[in-house]
Amino acid sequence: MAFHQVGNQSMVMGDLVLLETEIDPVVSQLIANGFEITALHNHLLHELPRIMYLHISGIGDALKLAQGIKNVLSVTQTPFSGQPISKTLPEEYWSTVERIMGKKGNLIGRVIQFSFPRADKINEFGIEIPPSMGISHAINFQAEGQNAATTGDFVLIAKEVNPVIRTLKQYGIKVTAIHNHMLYETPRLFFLHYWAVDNPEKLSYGLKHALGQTNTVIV
Amino acid sequence: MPFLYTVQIGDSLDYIAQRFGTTLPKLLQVNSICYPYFIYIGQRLIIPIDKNINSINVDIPFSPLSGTNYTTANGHLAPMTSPIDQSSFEKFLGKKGTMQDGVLKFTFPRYDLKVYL
Repeated sequence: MAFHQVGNQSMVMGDLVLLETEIDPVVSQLIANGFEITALHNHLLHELPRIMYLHISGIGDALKLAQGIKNVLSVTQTPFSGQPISKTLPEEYWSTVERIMGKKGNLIGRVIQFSFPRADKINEFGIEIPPSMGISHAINFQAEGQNAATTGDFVLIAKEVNPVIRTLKQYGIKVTAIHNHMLYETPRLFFLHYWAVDNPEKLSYGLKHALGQTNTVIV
Repeated sequence: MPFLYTVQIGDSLDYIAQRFGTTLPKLLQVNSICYPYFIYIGQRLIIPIDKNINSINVDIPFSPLSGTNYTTANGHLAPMTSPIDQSSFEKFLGKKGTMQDGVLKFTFPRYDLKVYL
């Protein structure tokens, strides 16, 4: 969940990761707590159990929003206290991937995360939405033996969608979803999700090449 | 010919630009409005239109935030802003957030789930 101050009110945007059985109670709680639902869909294919992503937004008093989020999460099995993550891999493990991606990633356990903000300004309701509010390209790798699994999303304007699809396919990366996350944004954005398990160097080149098809701050 | 418009309840810059047949960049430029593009009720804006005032579109279908249940619809843009109160959020939610370019993020990992693909 991402919170941003707008004048004397706070804005929240985010997504809830839900089992199918959790969706209806969560929707009820979202309505009761004054949130707006902006999308409900898959990000991946063939996962078990089936996971759905419910995107939300809200504007109002900061702590009322936070209480609302707590109320919503309380009807899911989401734990509030974190469990210890698996041991972080040595920094040099991802050095080739970081070199190809052109920046340092954020290491969490067996996962490395990269974020690339778009170069253009995204507005909603006349307000510029910062890239950290879920509108940066997200690229994640997880170590899987000698290979890596990768998933994430590209944040695209319409004309970028098919060049990115073609590029990903060239590198054996599967497109798993293309859809909205927001309702009123300008320009209109499409979020493209992907999945692959392969040699991490090959995947990195493919994803970097795909980023090159977009209006993105690469460094 | 440009004229002055007084910001009303529920207005947004996008809405005003659309209503008066101009563009958001033009509206921002002539009024010297910079990031984060706040306006407030009662503010007088220069509307950069060339066409006759009688031909402007006064029947725009909606102002996006007006009447929804998550806003008071009393002007969602304010003249001043302040950083988000990270410590209050963290205390309330009982976990650490991360701050980046003015955005405070919290993650709630589904440790209860093992997902296989």
